[in-house]
Amino acid sequence: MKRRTWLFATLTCATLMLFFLIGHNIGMPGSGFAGVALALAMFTLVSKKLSKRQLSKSSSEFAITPTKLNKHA
Amino acid sequence: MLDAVVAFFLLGIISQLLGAKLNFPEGLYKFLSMFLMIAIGLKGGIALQQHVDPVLLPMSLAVIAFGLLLPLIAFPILRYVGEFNRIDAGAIAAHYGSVSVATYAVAVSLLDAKNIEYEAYFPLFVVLLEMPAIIVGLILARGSLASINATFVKKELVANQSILLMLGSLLIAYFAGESVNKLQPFFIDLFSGVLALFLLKMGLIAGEQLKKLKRDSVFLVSFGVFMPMVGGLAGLGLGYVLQFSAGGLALMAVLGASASYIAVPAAMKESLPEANAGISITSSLGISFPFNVVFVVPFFIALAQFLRA
Repeated sequence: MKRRTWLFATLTCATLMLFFLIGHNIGMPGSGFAGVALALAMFTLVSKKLSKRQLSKSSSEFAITPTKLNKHA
Repeated sequence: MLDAVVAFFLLGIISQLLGAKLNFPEGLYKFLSMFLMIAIGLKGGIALQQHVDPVLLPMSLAVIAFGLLLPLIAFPILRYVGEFNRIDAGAIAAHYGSVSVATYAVAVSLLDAKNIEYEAYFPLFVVLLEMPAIIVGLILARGSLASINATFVKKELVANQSILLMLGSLLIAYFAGESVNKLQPFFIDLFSGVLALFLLKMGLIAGEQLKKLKRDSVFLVSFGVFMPMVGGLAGLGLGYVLQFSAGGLALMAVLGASASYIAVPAAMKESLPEANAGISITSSLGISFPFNVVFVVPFFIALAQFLRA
Protein backbone atom coordinates (compact mmCIF):
# COMPACT_ATOMS: atom_id res chain seq x y z
CA MET A 1 0.00 0.00 0.00
CA LYS A 2 1.28 3.47 -0.79
CA ARG A 3 2.36 5.77 2.00
CA ARG A 4 -0.20 8.47 1.11
CA THR A 5 -3.06 5.97 1.18
CA TRP A 6 -1.90 4.64 4.52
CA LEU A 7 -1.68 8.15 5.99
CA PHE A 8 -5.13 9.02 4.63
CA ALA A 9 -6.62 5.84 6.12
CA THR A 10 -5.06 6.71 9.49
CA LEU A 11 -6.42 10.27 9.27
CA THR A 12 -9.89 8.87 8.47
CA CYS A 13 -9.76 6.48 11.44
CA ALA A 14 -8.58 9.26 13.76
CA THR A 15 -11.40 11.58 12.57
CA LEU A 16 -13.93 8.78 12.97
CA MET A 17 -12.76 8.10 16.49
CA LEU A 18 -13.04 11.80 17.27
CA PHE A 19 -16.63 11.71 15.99
CA PHE A 20 -17.39 8.69 18.19
CA LEU A 21 -15.84 10.47 21.16
CA ILE A 22 -17.99 13.57 20.52
CA GLY A 23 -21.04 11.31 19.98
CA HIS A 24 -20.40 9.58 23.29
CA ASN A 25 -20.15 12.92 25.10
CA ILE A 26 -23.31 14.43 23.59
CA GLY A 27 -25.34 11.36 24.50
CA MET A 28 -25.56 9.61 21.13
CA PRO A 29 -26.66 6.06 21.91
CA GLY A 30 -24.31 3.24 20.94
CA SER A 31 -21.37 5.47 20.06
CA GLY A 32 -19.22 4.26 22.98
CA PHE A 33 -19.48 0.62 21.91
CA ALA A 34 -18.94 1.50 18.25
CA GLY A 35 -15.88 3.57 19.18
CA VAL A 36 -14.32 0.67 21.06
CA ALA A 37 -15.06 -1.70 18.14
CA LEU A 38 -13.47 0.74 15.72
CA ALA A 39 -10.42 1.22 17.93
CA LEU A 40 -9.97 -2.58 18.06
CA ALA A 41 -10.35 -2.87 14.28
CA MET A 42 -7.82 -0.08 13.76
CA PHE A 43 -5.38 -1.68 16.21
CA THR A 44 -5.66 -5.03 14.37
CA LEU A 45 -5.11 -3.33 11.00
CA VAL A 46 -2.06 -1.36 12.18
CA SER A 47 -0.48 -4.34 13.92
CA LYS A 48 -1.00 -6.51 10.82
CA LYS A 49 0.56 -3.83 8.65
CA LEU A 50 3.53 -3.46 11.00
CA SER A 51 4.11 -7.21 11.27
CA LYS A 52 3.99 -7.49 7.46
CA ARG A 53 6.59 -4.73 7.16
CA GLN A 54 8.81 -6.36 9.79
CA LEU A 55 8.48 -9.71 8.04
CA SER A 56 9.43 -8.30 4.65
CA LYS A 57 12.32 -6.37 6.26
CA SER A 58 13.72 -9.41 8.07
CA SER A 59 13.25 -11.68 5.06
CA SER A 60 15.20 -9.22 2.91
CA GLU A 61 17.95 -9.13 5.54
CA PHE A 62 18.30 -12.92 5.68
CA ALA A 63 17.68 -13.64 2.03
CA ILE A 64 20.57 -15.08 0.04
CA THR A 65 21.03 -12.49 -2.63
CA PRO A 66 23.49 -12.72 -5.57
CA THR A 67 25.64 -9.98 -3.98
CA LYS A 68 25.87 -11.92 -0.70
CA LEU A 69 26.81 -15.07 -2.61
CA ASN A 70 29.47 -13.15 -4.53
CA LYS A 71 30.92 -11.86 -1.26
CA HIS A 72 31.22 -15.42 0.11
CA ALA A 73 32.77 -16.60 -3.13
CA MET B 1 -32.09 2.26 20.41
CA LEU B 2 -32.02 1.23 16.73
CA ASP B 3 -34.63 2.94 14.55
CA ALA B 4 -37.11 0.48 13.01
CA VAL B 5 -36.81 2.05 9.53
CA VAL B 6 -32.99 1.92 9.58
CA ALA B 7 -33.18 -1.69 10.85
CA PHE B 8 -34.67 -2.71 7.48
CA PHE B 9 -31.57 -1.38 5.76
CA LEU B 10 -29.36 -3.51 8.01
CA LEU B 11 -31.62 -6.51 7.31
CA GLY B 12 -31.02 -5.99 3.57
CA ILE B 13 -27.22 -5.83 3.99
CA ILE B 14 -27.11 -8.90 6.25
CA SER B 15 -29.37 -10.89 3.90
CA GLN B 16 -27.13 -10.07 0.95
CA LEU B 17 -23.91 -10.87 2.81
CA LEU B 18 -25.39 -14.20 3.98
CA GLY B 19 -26.33 -14.98 0.38
CA ALA B 20 -30.09 -15.14 1.06
CA LYS B 21 -32.19 -14.65 -2.03
CA LEU B 22 -34.77 -11.95 -1.42
CA ASN B 23 -36.67 -11.51 -4.65
CA PHE B 24 -37.48 -7.85 -4.98
CA PRO B 25 -39.55 -7.01 -8.08
CA GLU B 26 -37.49 -4.78 -10.40
CA GLY B 27 -40.20 -2.22 -11.11
CA LEU B 28 -41.01 -1.84 -7.42
CA TYR B 29 -37.67 -0.18 -6.65
CA LYS B 30 -38.34 2.53 -9.23
CA PHE B 31 -41.87 2.96 -7.91
CA LEU B 32 -40.64 3.34 -4.32
CA SER B 33 -38.00 5.93 -5.26
CA MET B 34 -40.64 7.90 -7.22
CA PHE B 35 -43.01 7.68 -4.24
CA LEU B 36 -40.35 9.06 -1.87
CA MET B 37 -39.45 11.96 -4.18
CA ILE B 38 -43.12 12.93 -4.60
CA ALA B 39 -43.77 12.56 -0.86
CA ILE B 40 -40.76 14.74 0.03
CA GLY B 41 -41.85 17.38 -2.49
CA LEU B 42 -45.45 17.35 -1.21
CA LYS B 43 -44.33 17.59 2.42
CA GLY B 44 -42.19 20.61 1.55
CA GLY B 45 -44.98 22.26 -0.46
CA ILE B 46 -47.57 21.77 2.30
CA ALA B 47 -45.20 23.24 4.88
CA LEU B 48 -44.20 26.04 2.53
CA GLN B 49 -47.86 27.15 2.22
CA GLN B 50 -47.58 28.39 5.80
CA HIS B 51 -44.05 29.82 5.77
CA VAL B 52 -42.92 31.71 2.71
CA ASP B 53 -39.85 33.63 3.72
CA PRO B 54 -38.14 36.44 1.77
CA VAL B 55 -34.77 35.25 3.08
CA LEU B 56 -35.21 32.11 0.99
CA LEU B 57 -33.42 33.65 -2.00
CA PRO B 58 -30.07 34.44 -0.31
CA MET B 59 -30.31 31.10 1.50
CA SER B 60 -30.79 29.28 -1.81
CA LEU B 61 -27.76 31.06 -3.28
CA ALA B 62 -25.67 29.99 -0.27
CA VAL B 63 -26.87 26.40 -0.70
CA ILE B 64 -25.94 26.42 -4.41
CA ALA B 65 -22.48 27.78 -3.50
CA PHE B 66 -22.19 24.94 -0.99
CA GLY B 67 -23.02 22.44 -3.76
CA LEU B 68 -20.25 23.95 -5.90
CA LEU B 69 -17.73 23.74 -3.05
CA LEU B 70 -18.13 20.04 -2.09
CA PRO B 71 -16.68 18.53 -5.32
CA LEU B 72 -13.77 20.97 -5.01
CA ILE B 73 -12.93 19.39 -1.63
CA ALA B 74 -13.30 15.81 -2.92
CA PHE B 75 -11.40 16.24 -6.21
CA PRO B 76 -7.86 16.95 -4.86
CA ILE B 77 -8.15 14.06 -2.37
CA LEU B 78 -9.15 11.67 -5.15
CA ARG B 79 -6.56 13.00 -7.57
CA TYR B 80 -3.50 13.35 -5.34
CA VAL B 81 -4.09 10.84 -2.51
CA GLY B 82 -6.15 8.24 -4.36
CA GLU B 83 -4.15 8.83 -7.57
CA PHE B 84 -7.23 8.54 -9.78
CA ASN B 85 -7.11 9.93 -13.29
CA ARG B 86 -8.82 13.27 -13.94
CA ILE B 87 -11.97 11.71 -15.44
CA ASP B 88 -12.65 9.27 -12.59
CA ALA B 89 -11.74 11.84 -9.91
CA GLY B 90 -14.17 14.36 -11.47
CA ALA B 91 -16.96 11.78 -11.71
CA ILE B 92 -16.58 10.61 -8.09
CA ALA B 93 -16.32 14.22 -6.87
CA ALA B 94 -19.63 14.99 -8.61
CA HIS B 95 -21.29 12.10 -6.70
CA TYR B 96 -20.08 13.52 -3.37
CA GLY B 97 -21.13 17.09 -4.18
CA SER B 98 -24.66 16.05 -5.02
CA VAL B 99 -27.21 14.66 -2.54
CA SER B 100 -28.94 11.38 -1.76
CA VAL B 101 -32.72 11.64 -1.48
CA ALA B 102 -32.85 8.37 0.50
CA THR B 103 -30.38 9.63 3.13
CA TYR B 104 -32.42 12.82 3.39
CA ALA B 105 -35.60 10.73 3.78
CA VAL B 106 -33.97 8.73 6.61
CA ALA B 107 -33.01 11.97 8.37
CA VAL B 108 -36.55 13.37 7.97
CA SER B 109 -38.02 10.13 9.30
CA LEU B 110 -35.73 10.18 12.37
CA LEU B 111 -36.47 13.88 13.03
CA ASP B 112 -40.23 13.21 12.77
CA ALA B 113 -39.91 10.23 15.13
CA LYS B 114 -38.12 12.43 17.67
CA ASN B 115 -40.52 15.37 17.16
CA ILE B 116 -37.68 17.70 16.19
CA GLU B 117 -38.85 20.58 14.01
CA TYR B 118 -37.06 21.67 10.85
CA GLU B 119 -37.47 24.39 8.23
CA ALA B 120 -40.19 23.76 5.62
CA TYR B 121 -38.09 24.68 2.60
CA PHE B 122 -35.56 21.83 2.80
CA PRO B 123 -36.97 19.88 -0.17
CA LEU B 124 -36.13 22.96 -2.23
CA PHE B 125 -32.52 22.74 -1.03
CA VAL B 126 -32.42 19.05 -1.96
CA VAL B 127 -33.43 19.99 -5.49
CA LEU B 128 -30.95 22.89 -5.62
CA LEU B 129 -28.07 20.66 -4.51
CA GLU B 130 -28.60 18.05 -7.25
CA MET B 131 -27.26 20.08 -10.14
CA PRO B 132 -24.20 22.25 -9.24
CA ALA B 133 -21.98 19.28 -8.36
CA ILE B 134 -22.63 17.63 -11.73
CA ILE B 135 -21.46 20.78 -13.50
CA VAL B 136 -18.36 21.21 -11.30
CA GLY B 137 -17.51 17.49 -11.61
CA LEU B 138 -17.69 17.73 -15.39
CA ILE B 139 -15.53 20.85 -15.50
CA LEU B 140 -12.95 19.18 -13.22
CA ALA B 141 -12.98 15.99 -15.29
CA ARG B 142 -12.70 17.74 -18.65
CA GLY B 143 -10.42 20.49 -17.43
CA SER B 144 -12.43 23.07 -19.38
CA LEU B 145 -15.83 24.76 -19.58
CA ALA B 146 -16.38 23.58 -23.17
CA SER B 147 -18.86 20.83 -22.32
CA ILE B 148 -21.09 23.10 -20.23
CA ASN B 149 -23.59 24.97 -22.37
CA ALA B 150 -27.28 25.82 -22.38
CA THR B 151 -28.20 22.57 -24.19
CA PHE B 152 -26.41 20.52 -21.54
CA VAL B 153 -28.15 22.30 -18.64
CA LYS B 154 -31.57 21.97 -20.31
CA LYS B 155 -30.97 18.27 -21.06
CA GLU B 156 -29.89 17.57 -17.48
CA LEU B 157 -32.85 19.44 -16.00
CA VAL B 158 -35.35 17.59 -18.17
CA ALA B 159 -33.67 14.18 -17.81
CA ASN B 160 -33.17 14.48 -14.06
CA GLN B 161 -36.12 12.59 -12.60
CA SER B 162 -35.53 13.64 -9.00
CA ILE B 163 -35.42 17.37 -9.82
CA LEU B 164 -38.60 17.12 -11.89
CA LEU B 165 -40.56 15.04 -9.37
CA MET B 166 -39.52 16.85 -6.20
CA LEU B 167 -39.78 20.38 -7.59
CA GLY B 168 -43.00 19.50 -9.43
CA SER B 169 -44.73 18.03 -6.36
CA LEU B 170 -43.46 20.87 -4.16
CA LEU B 171 -45.10 23.39 -6.54
CA ILE B 172 -48.28 21.27 -6.80
CA ALA B 173 -48.64 21.14 -3.01
CA TYR B 174 -47.88 24.86 -2.71
CA PHE B 175 -50.43 26.00 -5.30
CA ALA B 176 -53.11 23.31 -4.76
CA GLY B 177 -54.17 24.73 -1.40
CA GLU B 178 -56.62 22.60 0.62
CA SER B 179 -57.09 20.01 -2.14
CA VAL B 180 -53.62 18.59 -1.43
CA ASN B 181 -55.07 17.06 1.75
CA LYS B 182 -56.63 14.34 -0.44
CA LEU B 183 -53.14 13.02 -1.14
CA GLN B 184 -52.02 12.94 2.49
CA PRO B 185 -53.29 9.42 3.42
CA PHE B 186 -51.26 7.87 0.61
CA PHE B 187 -48.11 10.00 0.35
CA ILE B 188 -47.62 11.30 3.89
CA ASP B 189 -49.12 8.65 6.19
CA LEU B 190 -47.45 5.73 4.38
CA PHE B 191 -44.06 7.51 4.15
CA SER B 192 -42.23 5.52 6.88
CA GLY B 193 -43.51 2.13 5.67
CA VAL B 194 -42.49 2.82 2.08
CA LEU B 195 -39.12 4.14 3.25
CA ALA B 196 -38.55 0.88 5.21
CA LEU B 197 -39.28 -1.16 2.08
CA PHE B 198 -37.02 1.09 -0.01
CA LEU B 199 -34.21 0.78 2.54
CA LEU B 200 -34.52 -3.01 2.50
CA LYS B 201 -33.82 -2.90 -1.23
CA MET B 202 -31.02 -0.36 -0.73
CA GLY B 203 -29.49 -2.71 1.87
CA LEU B 204 -29.51 -5.52 -0.69
CA ILE B 205 -27.78 -3.30 -3.27
CA ALA B 206 -25.27 -1.94 -0.72
CA GLY B 207 -24.45 -5.50 0.39
CA GLU B 208 -23.81 -6.45 -3.23
CA GLN B 209 -21.48 -3.44 -3.62
CA LEU B 210 -19.64 -4.35 -0.40
CA LYS B 211 -18.97 -7.84 -1.80
CA LYS B 212 -17.33 -6.23 -4.83
CA LEU B 213 -14.81 -4.37 -2.68
CA LYS B 214 -11.34 -5.70 -3.42
CA ARG B 215 -8.71 -6.31 -0.81
CA ASP B 216 -6.69 -3.28 -1.92
CA SER B 217 -9.53 -0.78 -1.71
CA VAL B 218 -8.30 0.87 1.50
CA PHE B 219 -8.36 4.29 -0.11
CA LEU B 220 -11.91 3.91 -1.41
CA VAL B 221 -13.21 2.78 2.00
CA SER B 222 -11.34 5.63 3.73
CA PHE B 223 -12.65 8.16 1.23
CA GLY B 224 -16.21 6.83 1.53
CA VAL B 225 -16.04 7.39 5.29
CA PHE B 226 -13.95 10.59 5.34
CA MET B 227 -15.96 12.63 2.83
CA PRO B 228 -19.35 12.34 4.63
CA MET B 229 -17.72 13.52 7.86
CA VAL B 230 -16.10 16.54 6.16
CA GLY B 231 -19.20 17.33 4.07
CA GLY B 232 -21.41 16.94 7.13
CA LEU B 233 -19.29 19.34 9.17
CA ALA B 234 -19.31 21.85 6.29
CA GLY B 235 -23.11 21.53 6.08
CA LEU B 236 -23.43 21.98 9.81
CA GLY B 237 -21.27 25.13 9.56
CA LEU B 238 -23.46 26.53 6.78
CA GLY B 239 -26.62 25.72 8.75
CA TYR B 240 -25.15 27.50 11.76
CA VAL B 241 -24.36 30.62 9.69
CA LEU B 242 -27.88 30.57 8.18
CA GLN B 243 -29.29 30.23 11.73
CA PHE B 244 -31.32 27.08 11.18
CA SER B 245 -33.19 25.30 13.96
CA ALA B 246 -31.84 22.01 15.43
CA GLY B 247 -33.67 19.98 12.77
CA GLY B 248 -32.49 22.32 10.01
CA LEU B 249 -28.87 22.08 11.20
CA ALA B 250 -29.07 18.28 11.15
CA LEU B 251 -30.67 18.22 7.68
CA MET B 252 -28.08 20.63 6.24
CA ALA B 253 -25.29 18.44 7.66
CA VAL B 254 -26.93 15.32 6.20
CA LEU B 255 -27.23 16.99 2.79
CA GLY B 256 -23.51 17.82 2.95
CA ALA B 257 -22.63 14.29 4.03
CA SER B 258 -24.73 12.37 1.53
CA ALA B 259 -23.56 11.24 -1.89
CA SER B 260 -25.76 10.74 -4.92
CA TYR B 261 -26.23 7.30 -6.49
CA ILE B 262 -29.29 7.84 -8.68
CA ALA B 263 -29.17 11.25 -10.37
CA VAL B 264 -25.40 11.69 -10.80
CA PRO B 265 -24.61 8.19 -12.18
CA ALA B 266 -27.29 8.75 -14.83
CA ALA B 267 -25.86 12.18 -15.69
CA MET B 268 -22.27 10.88 -15.77
CA LYS B 269 -23.25 7.99 -18.02
CA GLU B 270 -24.47 10.55 -20.54
CA SER B 271 -21.88 13.29 -20.18
CA LEU B 272 -18.78 11.35 -19.08
CA PRO B 273 -19.14 7.83 -20.51
CA GLU B 274 -15.41 7.08 -20.22
CA ALA B 275 -15.52 7.37 -16.39
CA ASN B 276 -15.50 4.14 -14.38
CA ALA B 277 -19.06 4.06 -13.00
CA GLY B 278 -18.34 1.01 -10.80
CA ILE B 279 -15.90 2.89 -8.54
CA SER B 280 -18.30 5.79 -7.96
CA ILE B 281 -21.27 3.51 -7.18
CA THR B 282 -19.24 1.25 -4.87
CA SER B 283 -17.98 4.27 -2.97
CA SER B 284 -21.23 6.22 -2.72
CA LEU B 285 -23.68 3.33 -2.35
CA GLY B 286 -21.55 0.55 -0.87
CA ILE B 287 -19.63 2.63 1.68
CA SER B 288 -20.97 6.16 2.23
CA PHE B 289 -24.69 5.35 2.16
CA PRO B 290 -24.55 2.64 4.90
CA PHE B 291 -22.16 4.79 6.93
CA ASN B 292 -24.49 7.77 6.63
CA VAL B 293 -27.64 5.83 7.52
CA VAL B 294 -26.15 4.00 10.48
CA PHE B 295 -23.84 6.62 11.96
CA VAL B 296 -23.74 10.07 10.30
CA VAL B 297 -27.49 10.86 10.41
CA PRO B 298 -27.97 10.01 14.14
CA PHE B 299 -24.65 11.73 14.96
CA PHE B 300 -25.57 15.05 13.33
CA ILE B 301 -29.08 14.96 14.81
CA ALA B 302 -27.54 14.52 18.28
CA LEU B 303 -24.92 17.21 17.59
CA ALA B 304 -27.51 19.68 16.25
CA GLN B 305 -29.71 19.12 19.31
CA PHE B 306 -26.69 19.67 21.54
CA LEU B 307 -25.74 22.91 19.72
CA ARG B 308 -29.29 24.30 19.86
CA ALA B 309 -30.01 23.16 23.43
